[in-house]
Amino acid sequence: SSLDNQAQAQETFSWKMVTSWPKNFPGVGQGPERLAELVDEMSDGRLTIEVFGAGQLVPGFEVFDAVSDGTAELGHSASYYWKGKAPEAQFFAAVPFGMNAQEMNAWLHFGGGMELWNEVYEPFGVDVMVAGASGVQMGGWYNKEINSIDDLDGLKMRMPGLGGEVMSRMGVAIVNMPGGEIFTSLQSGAIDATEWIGPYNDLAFGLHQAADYYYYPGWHEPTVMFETIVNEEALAELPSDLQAILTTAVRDINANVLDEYTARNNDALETLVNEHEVELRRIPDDVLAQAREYSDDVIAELAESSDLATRIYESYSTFQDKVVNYHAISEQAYYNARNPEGDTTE
Amino acid sequence: MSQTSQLPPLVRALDSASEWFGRTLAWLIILMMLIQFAIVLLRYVFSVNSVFMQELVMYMHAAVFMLGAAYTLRHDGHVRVDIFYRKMAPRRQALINLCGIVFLLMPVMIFIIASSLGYVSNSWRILESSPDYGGIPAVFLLKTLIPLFALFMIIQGAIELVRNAYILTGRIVPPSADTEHLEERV
Amino acid sequence: MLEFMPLILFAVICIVLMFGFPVAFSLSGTALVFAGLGLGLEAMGVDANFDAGYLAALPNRLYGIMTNTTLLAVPLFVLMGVLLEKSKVAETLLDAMALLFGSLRGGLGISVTLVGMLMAASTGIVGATVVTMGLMSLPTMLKRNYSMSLATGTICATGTLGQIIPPSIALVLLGDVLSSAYQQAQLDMGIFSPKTVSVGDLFMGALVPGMILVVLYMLYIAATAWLRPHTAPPADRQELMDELGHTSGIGWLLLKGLVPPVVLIVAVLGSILSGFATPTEASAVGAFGALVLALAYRQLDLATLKDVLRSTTHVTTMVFMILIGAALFSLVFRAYGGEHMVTELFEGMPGGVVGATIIVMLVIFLLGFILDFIEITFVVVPIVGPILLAMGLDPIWLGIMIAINSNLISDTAVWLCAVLSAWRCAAISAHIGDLSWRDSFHSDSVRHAVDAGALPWASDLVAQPV
Ligand code: NA
Ligand code: NA
Repeated sequence: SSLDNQAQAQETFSWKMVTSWPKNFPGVGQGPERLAELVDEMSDGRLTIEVFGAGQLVPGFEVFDAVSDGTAELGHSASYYWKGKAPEAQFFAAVPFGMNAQEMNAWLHFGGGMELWNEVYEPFGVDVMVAGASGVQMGGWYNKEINSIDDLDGLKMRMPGLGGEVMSRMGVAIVNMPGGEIFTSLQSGAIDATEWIGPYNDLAFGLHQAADYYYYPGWHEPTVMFETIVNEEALAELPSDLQAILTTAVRDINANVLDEYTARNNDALETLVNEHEVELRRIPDDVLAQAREYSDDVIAELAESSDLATRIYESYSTFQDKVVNYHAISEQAYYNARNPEGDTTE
Repeated sequence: MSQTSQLPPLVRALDSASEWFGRTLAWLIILMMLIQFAIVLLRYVFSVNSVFMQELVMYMHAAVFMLGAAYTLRHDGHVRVDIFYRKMAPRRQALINLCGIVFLLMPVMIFIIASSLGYVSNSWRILESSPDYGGIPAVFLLKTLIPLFALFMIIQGAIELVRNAYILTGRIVPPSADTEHLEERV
Repeated sequence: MLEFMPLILFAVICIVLMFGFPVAFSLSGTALVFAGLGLGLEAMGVDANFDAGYLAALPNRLYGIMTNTTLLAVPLFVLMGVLLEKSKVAETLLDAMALLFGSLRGGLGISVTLVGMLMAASTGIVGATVVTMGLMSLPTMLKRNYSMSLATGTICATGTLGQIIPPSIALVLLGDVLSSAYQQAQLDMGIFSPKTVSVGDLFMGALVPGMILVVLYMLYIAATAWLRPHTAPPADRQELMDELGHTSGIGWLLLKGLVPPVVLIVAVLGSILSGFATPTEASAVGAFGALVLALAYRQLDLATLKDVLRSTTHVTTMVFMILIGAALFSLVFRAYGGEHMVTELFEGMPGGVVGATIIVMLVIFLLGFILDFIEITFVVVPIVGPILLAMGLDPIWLGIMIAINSNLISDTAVWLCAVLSAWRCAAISAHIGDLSWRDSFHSDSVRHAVDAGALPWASDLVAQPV
């Protein structure tokens, strides 16, 4: 009845959103803030979201558990952090030599990716929406020149996830540490190299003050796809219009985060090269070739780890093969046409 | 809080078990130090890094303070604001301990168990593994330390409850402060 | 009334703490009672402004504490300190120092101060270190006719000195809390190139003010010895040698007692300050070095080792239990909107950041009479730290101010007691621990020392006015 509808329309919800980033963190941290503002405005205050930075309500790596058990209704994070709970989740964040942001969005929204991702999280009572991308990252900051594969041997580097596993098979000693320790460790020589995100965030972290060489491309993270996760029960309690508002707002920040990175990375790279005289280097071809080979192994092992992983791998790699073929004569051909000299940075 | 002999047999047995467990647990400290030292050697001298060893140190560290809490309670090692407490007669101290255990310690520990059961059982359900390559595939065990910590505290809390009740009712004559300290040092 | 619940919670906790039940459980237990009150009021339809959702975050927070890698340095630094102490490395060091300086007026007091400084890793947290210092030095000083107030004051002051001289465990804990508060504050201010503050930075920042304090303490002792020679008379070196039971030459004792521990401590500190190693790495090396020293001095048998490990377990557990208690407290405090309340309070403060800082320092100073440095670090700093830093305060400066403030409290206590003891020594003879009545650790420590060995001397001397 209309009376019921009215009552429902007046019901308000105040949700908590936990994130894996410091509050207001540049780029990725702006996503959840924008989401909260949009939802508040679109719902005329019927759904308000309080955003918590990492550690404010729960630690950054507890986001998934907090959403899963309803401590917070919403979370913003990246799925590769949940490797210990569901190894399959790694496919949806960053795959070495895998799809870039544009291609990932295509696979997730139109290639069956989202359905598989939701299937991974289903046992945890969590719904997922893709909520931002970094774009192709940088290869990382090095205090040693990398001219051949041999130069990697014994190198101490911070690189998480699948990329880190590939590096460790190339002889690199992979070290794990939280973001806050990266700068000091690199400066003191406790590590020889680190990857972080891209020029925008790397400049902000001051990594140029601690390393000599800035290598590209970020083969290990052709993008990171961020996620908004929702507690299933909480979501079910929302009236359908608020559900639609939430979904739409997440779709907005998905584009918005990538746009911000694309816009800011340009300026930041210019600042790094021109003002801070950072030496930009391309990762040697033989290193890339070796990394590609090991990546295939690491991903194949992941694909064999469960039936679901196999299905995700098949969907992912089929889509990638097709899109690579098409992009060879579209994006790639166009890039080549636009810039026939290719890489002119050196 | 270390007088045991006059306590009822069951309590006495639990108390001895707690003491034995605490003493055994303490050995983790030196193991942890040796492994962390080995990590430093490996990293700086041999450029080798072991995620497994790093996590092992973390597991041991967590085990020491989560499971050692009850042992420290047994030895009255949790810091007090003792401006007034110190000057009180042993019976009054026993009364404060009695009330503190019933109204402060026990509710907190029960709450920790109640609020962590879902959290921990979710981890067991999927046998949660390390978030890092090469890590220890037993995060579910690590998380189990949370309710286990509270359970140990409840058991030790109950023992201390009996001990303090005995002091309060005069069934145990508490040692004078001085001799107690001498005992500890000898 | 209900909007002041965060403040009421805080006040009630202060009262509950005075009863003397362990701090960790008083903190968390009282907070839990308030949570129950909030739930009850909300259930009765009263708007208590209590968001019960916060309580559910407790297991996540506990797991966060368990997996915090910065705090791995805590048990290892404690182990290093306890090893140096129980295996008599510290004692040999003190003997060597005493022989070096003892023949000067006030020299024994200066030796105690220097050893306290070097034992920084564990003193200030490990009461036991102050116990040993007391055990080792009080009888010697009193036998040399040091005044009771100067001797015990030196020991107490040196004990708290350990909090600010790196590698202090208190600074490790403070660094961990401040680093996240600082990053947060900068991002809140719109600074998207956040600087980081590490435990090492805090160590570096604490070094100079710490050294100034050491120098001031030594100057005070020297001046006292100069102006009132009978309070700190010189000792005869040969007599000291005999009393300390050393038969070898003084050169050998200095070489053996002074060089190895000083090299170890300087190496550990240097590797952190130079950024060569993380505090956790350095603490492992330090503890290993202390183990080797203890074995080399043939002072470590199985019984001593067991004792060391048990003490280390107790101290580590005690520290982390406060952290756990503070976690529950902070959730309930926030569930009542305490954070917003404090922010509003500070933003409305006249005098801006200076006014707010003065108020915070005053509050910390007053709280310091019941709470320890680590309790302030876990309970107060997470609440006020981000706000003050967001108002533009430098994090190192804030950290060092807090550390010095805690030192100031104990100095005040020591000074008060010194004044008191001048006219009413007999009143405190029963519990010399009351000399530093603020700090349960230090007071306990000196009391333990007196109980265990120094009492005969103490009661003799305390009976007469100083
Ligand atoms: Na990255
Ligand atoms: Na110290």
